[in-house]
Amino acid sequence: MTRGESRRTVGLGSLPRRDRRGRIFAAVCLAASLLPVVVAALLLGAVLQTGAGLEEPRVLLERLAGSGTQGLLGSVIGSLWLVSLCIVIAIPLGVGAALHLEGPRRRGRSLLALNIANLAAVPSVLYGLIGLELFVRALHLGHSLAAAALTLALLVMPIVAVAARSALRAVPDELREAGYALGATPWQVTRQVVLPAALPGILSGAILAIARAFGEAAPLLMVSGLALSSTPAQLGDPQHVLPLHVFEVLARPGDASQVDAIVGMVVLLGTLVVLSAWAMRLRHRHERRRDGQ
Amino acid sequence: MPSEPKLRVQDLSAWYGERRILDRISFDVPATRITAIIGPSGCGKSTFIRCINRMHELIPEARVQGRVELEGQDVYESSVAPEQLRRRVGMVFQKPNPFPTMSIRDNVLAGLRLTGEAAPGGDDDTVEQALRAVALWDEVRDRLRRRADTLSAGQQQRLCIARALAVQPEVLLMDEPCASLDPIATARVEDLLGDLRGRYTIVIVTHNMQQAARVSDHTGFFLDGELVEFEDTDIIFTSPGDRRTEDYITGKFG
Repeated sequence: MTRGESRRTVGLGSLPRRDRRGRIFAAVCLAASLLPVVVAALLLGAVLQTGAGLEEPRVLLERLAGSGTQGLLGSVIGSLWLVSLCIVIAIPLGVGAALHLEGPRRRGRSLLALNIANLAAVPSVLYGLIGLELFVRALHLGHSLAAAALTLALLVMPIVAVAARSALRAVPDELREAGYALGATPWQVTRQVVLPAALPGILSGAILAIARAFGEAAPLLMVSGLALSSTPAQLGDPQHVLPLHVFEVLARPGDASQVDAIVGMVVLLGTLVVLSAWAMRLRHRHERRRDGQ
Repeated sequence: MPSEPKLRVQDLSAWYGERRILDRISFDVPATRITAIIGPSGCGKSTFIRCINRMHELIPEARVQGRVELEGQDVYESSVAPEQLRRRVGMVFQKPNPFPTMSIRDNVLAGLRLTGEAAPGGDDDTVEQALRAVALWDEVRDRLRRRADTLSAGQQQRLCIARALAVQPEVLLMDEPCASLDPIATARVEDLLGDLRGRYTIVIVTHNMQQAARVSDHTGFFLDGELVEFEDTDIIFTSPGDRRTEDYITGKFG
């Protein structure tokens, strides 16, 4: 550019080169942020188009209600059971791990923290294998709902832990000091000052974990022994959950079952969108409150 | 000076890691009076009051040596629980730090709730008394259930003082309590200090010499971690014994 010149005059004119670069960069950023939105819209559109007449929520609901506990409705209930169980296990574990890492005396825990953060990036199939070996075989839980919930809990625990950790870290130290100065013990400060202040962040992490557990199929296939039975599944069967139901129905020949699959997909996608939006809202409110002070 | 000192500091030194912040501080803090600690930034005045209620040791790598006696008992003895000590020695910080998730009322009661104690005269009485003591009662009596972060900075700071008073401490440590307040809010806190004099032993850190002159009975001048001079406030500001004190209060440095 101007290298080699001994002296450079700075004019007040336009900056065509930098201007152009800035605009290109902005365009790339816009494209990058639009891409997932467009893909999601196309996906939902395609699903709805294939299942003609399903745009109406009423038709969807009727279809869902009419499917009976052995079909789609059963799988939705199965999913609710599984996810509830999974979250009851994963949230205390994840928040506990985060509290340990961000506790009053944080030293020499970086290795542990790194490991937990890495766990969040392990492919879910591996968790399926662990679940199969540990819960199904070693602990003799069999191909059960309990084994599936434990496997999923293992999978989402790091997500909860990472989110809870950053939420705890965002609590200003002044609040902790205020608690200590009033004569509270570290435990009292953590429970009554730090946790309430970090709650919105922890909750949004928990919601994302719920969404993940709700949509996960691969580890459940492992835990349920890869046997997609043709006989209608029963409640409490780990394979009788929404993502696996969609998968199973699609693998089955014939058009009649396809509609079932599409309704399943719409319910799945819809639930995930609602959950993510909720998590985002919580986090947004939390951030605004913090910045507002 | 009155007979028995409330606090007796003897050869107190403090470190952050290898860095020495305080160097053998010794002096007596008289009971029920206001003692100001003045000095330029980084002279160790905040560290000093954090050593009195053992907040200093909460920071990793922090270390203390020497004695701080509260009514004759060394607070650094192994038999002393820092939590118990902090019940008797309250603290107000530079930046107002009410608990944002709690209501105004709950903030006043926070000290008692945190430690699981019942308010001696009932919750309502405690809240009213503490808020009256900081002249905040009339401003907030109709919105006690509102969140504390809806108050102005000056009100928040007075709320923090009320919160500290609600646990009925004997000593109140104040770390530049007006540093983030506007002049009007500062004046109100200074008035409040006048009201509290005689009931509490107050140690106030300030970088504002006029404030020290206005509110305090005794003043200690800190410089580079040493106590240069400790005297009656009148004497410090009219005929200081040390050249460095004189230079500082006349604005030659700092």
